[in-house]
Amino acid sequence: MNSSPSSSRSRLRALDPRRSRADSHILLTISEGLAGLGIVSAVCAIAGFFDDVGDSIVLGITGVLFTGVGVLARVKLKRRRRPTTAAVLSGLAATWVALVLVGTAVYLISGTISRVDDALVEAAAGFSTTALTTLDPSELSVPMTLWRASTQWVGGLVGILIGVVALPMALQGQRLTPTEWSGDHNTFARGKIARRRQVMAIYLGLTTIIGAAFAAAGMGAKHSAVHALTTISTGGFSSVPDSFASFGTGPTAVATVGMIVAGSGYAIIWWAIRGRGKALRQSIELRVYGAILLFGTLSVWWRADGLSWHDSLFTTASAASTTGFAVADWTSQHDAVTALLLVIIATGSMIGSAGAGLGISRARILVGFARRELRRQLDPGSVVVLKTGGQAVDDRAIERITGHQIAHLATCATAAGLLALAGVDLLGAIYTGISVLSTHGPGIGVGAFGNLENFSQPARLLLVPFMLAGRLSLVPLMIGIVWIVHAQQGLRRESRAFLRVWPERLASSSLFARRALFARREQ
Amino acid sequence: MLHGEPFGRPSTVLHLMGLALIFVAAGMGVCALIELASTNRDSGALALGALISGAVGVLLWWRTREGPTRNRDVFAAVGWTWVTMTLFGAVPYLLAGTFATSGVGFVEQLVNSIFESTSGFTTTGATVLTDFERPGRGLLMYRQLSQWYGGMGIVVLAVTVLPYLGVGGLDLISAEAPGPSSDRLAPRVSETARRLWTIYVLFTVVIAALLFVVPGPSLYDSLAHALTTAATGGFSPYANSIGHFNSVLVELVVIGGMLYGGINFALHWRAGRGDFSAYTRDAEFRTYALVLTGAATAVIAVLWLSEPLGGTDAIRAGLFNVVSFGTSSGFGNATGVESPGNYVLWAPAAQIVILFLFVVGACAGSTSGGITIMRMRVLFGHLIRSVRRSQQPRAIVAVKHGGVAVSEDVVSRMAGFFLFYVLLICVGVIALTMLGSDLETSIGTSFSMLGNMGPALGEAGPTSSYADAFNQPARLVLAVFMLIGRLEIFPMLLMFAAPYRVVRDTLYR
Repeated sequence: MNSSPSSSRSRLRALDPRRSRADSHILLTISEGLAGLGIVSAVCAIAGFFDDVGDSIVLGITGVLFTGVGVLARVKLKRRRRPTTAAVLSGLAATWVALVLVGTAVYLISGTISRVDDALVEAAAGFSTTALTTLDPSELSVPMTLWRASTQWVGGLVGILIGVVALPMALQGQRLTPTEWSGDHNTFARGKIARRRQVMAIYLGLTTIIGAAFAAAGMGAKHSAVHALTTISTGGFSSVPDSFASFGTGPTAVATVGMIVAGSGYAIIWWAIRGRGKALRQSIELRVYGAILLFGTLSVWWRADGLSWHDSLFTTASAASTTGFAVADWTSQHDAVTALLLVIIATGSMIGSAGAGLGISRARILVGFARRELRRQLDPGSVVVLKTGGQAVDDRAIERITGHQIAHLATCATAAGLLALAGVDLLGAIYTGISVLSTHGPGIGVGAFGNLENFSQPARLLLVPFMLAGRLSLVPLMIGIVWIVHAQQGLRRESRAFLRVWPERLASSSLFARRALFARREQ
Repeated sequence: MLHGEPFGRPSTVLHLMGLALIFVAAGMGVCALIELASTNRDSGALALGALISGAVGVLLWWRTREGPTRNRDVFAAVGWTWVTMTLFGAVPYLLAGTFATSGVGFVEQLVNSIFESTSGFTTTGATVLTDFERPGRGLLMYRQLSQWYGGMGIVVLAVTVLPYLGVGGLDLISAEAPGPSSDRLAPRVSETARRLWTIYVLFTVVIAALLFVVPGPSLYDSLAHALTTAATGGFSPYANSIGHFNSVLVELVVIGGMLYGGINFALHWRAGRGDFSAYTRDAEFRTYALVLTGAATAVIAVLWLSEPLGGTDAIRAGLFNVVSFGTSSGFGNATGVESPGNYVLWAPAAQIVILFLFVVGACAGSTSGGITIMRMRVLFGHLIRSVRRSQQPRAIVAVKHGGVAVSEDVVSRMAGFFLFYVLLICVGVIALTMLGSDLETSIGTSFSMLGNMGPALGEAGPTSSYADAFNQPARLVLAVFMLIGRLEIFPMLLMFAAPYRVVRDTLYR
């Protein structure tokens, strides 16, 4: 056994309770998330100070407090080089919960929302980038309007970081990203920190560009900022109650391009920035995304009454990127339009984007898997390798994706069932269940503009866990399922063991008690 | 020339098609006699149908012989046999003018006849019949008999084709039997089929006898409903289905029959040999009981709490409909549009449970449709495994069914089956809405047709006719969906593989 003094020291350090307490990945992740929110809150407070001092002070305090928490955590807590998968996944879920709780508190303290449950739903919709609201956004102060949009911006950033940085790290080498991300076209930053910075720089840059484009298209400063924040994050919150129906063609066109870009994913944007035309041309995922947009637009245009081709493109882009903006009330259109949009919403956007849903990459692999199974039915002995982007997909990845698909559908069904139980009509429950899990939001039942006024309070609250599940790629729910199964198995084991041994124990304990009594009497 | 080597490859397909047509013709003949003895309106149509089907069947069967069976031949044989049966089965309806109401042209009559025939042979139970007084009693009995044939065919499918797919009911039931046991009940497929058919026939006779004993149904009604109860089909000679009798006893007998029909027939055989614990040992059966109990409790609770129904009405309506859809039968006990049994008027939560049952179905190896409980169990195990592996990437976790590990190949095939199921639902919903149906009806009907349930949601509820709810092209789409669902998806998708390869090889040469 080789035991150097340094390794002994590190082992001793690990045994030190103070050290092990400080070595927390989960706490660090939460504090980083809160610090991000703190910075954003401070910016919103400064930007809207002259409009509403009270709200700005609340946001300013939030900003200072949580930026401080972040700095403190950075100093006090130590980051593990290799956190366990469970720690990474739990950290993501806990961060999201912490963000939502802080958001709820901000809404309540600022007096923007008086009910706790409504504040919780609004905060959850913000951080999950779901375009559902309990508010009339036109009645909000400037700082709160900006902050509300910023919650989606933070949520979108968290979504991208989960897809590009956290999950690949958590799954320890299991393939999560499309195969075309690897190979010759892979020029992304290698390290986790560097890649995170790269993503943040792109995200911030695109937000600025879209904001500038909105302003150039004739939107005011407030509207431009809000819509830029919620477009790049595929959030869908608007500064007006009827989303893009009240804006002209220019802003609508900018939003359409913005949504398409936001739904296309980190890799595509990176290649476009680097001028890698070949990589873009060869990306099958991008081609599928384009095909969905084209087919969806043509179908919506064909079947919808009163929607122009650019309105149809807008509506399709909103669904494909799971943003949730609306230019018209598409839920009252022909049933074929709503059915097609539902399928597009469920499919979701490209991997590495802020959008959610099943994911085009996963859908592609599933279609390939289906074709392989069909071939194997004909020739059971044949070995059919499933390829994507010219590279073989290993069986573990296929297994994970098929498992994810089952989980996704089961969660949709659960959401629909619970919503129906809460009084939502059948079609509304199914549509909203699917839409919320894709972090899209609007649909039949809620309406095209995502206002939850028709939903009862229990129905609104029920949406919160499904927003969380959608935003975090079902990770928290899956952990919950495993925990429940383990608990149930453990309970069954324990109860069987108890039933086996309790007569003996009872006999022995009563015998012991009797003996003890006799002994005491004798004494 | 059909006989000989040049046609050796497709001869198995044609041979089986011929045999099936002979059976269908025999059924038509018997029903023609019933018609002759009763209403005597459609006896000519039935006799002519029997003659055509019989002639073609005998010709095919006599002029061909069984050839070597590869997978693609098996798929082609199953797929084409069912298609042929449904097409020839539509002849009596067409000849009798069953759907020749005012303003209905020949094409629509043809479409309706094919739809009704497909619904029969696939044991679905959806109907385009609006006037139940028009057809004679013999023709209505033929309609019932077509479902019984369909159920019998499914029993054969379970022992012959599904093991090829690796997703059949009988290849996993062995996992439940203690000690070394065969996948099938007997070494030979024909012997296994014979035993299962014996159960099926006995089961039908018992149901008929019970229905005849209870007050209400006549001998004709008892036999007609026994045929479709055993097949978990759902056809009835009356527009209100079982609701026509408005009798609790009749409903209880039918519930018992549906529950029995939804269980793996191999378990019935074992129970028949005195091994009653075969039921409780079977993990799928336990889940089946759990699902139905849970669904019935949930629906009754919702109906009791949210509807203006009394306890008895809620229990009666809830229990009957849950069992009807949990076994993919599709019988209804609604006595009218406003009746408690019309589940389309129920609270959304109860309807969601019904929709869930549309998907799940009953046990594998039974006459029921849907994904089946066994597949759902394996898929749930697969889900849990993938989650555990996402937390512990190097963990080796097996998917288990009844305590025994299921092979990776079977898990993969079941995941593939599920994927196709979901894809088909999406295609069905989009196609039906494109053809003019509303979204709720389209969603409900896509699930219902693929699961061979019968009634659906929205405009296609238990008191509605598919003739009113769907236009002609939509009815044809639904007929295809019924076939795909009945044949467990793959045979219908792969039935073109064998003819395609024959044509391709011929052209290549």
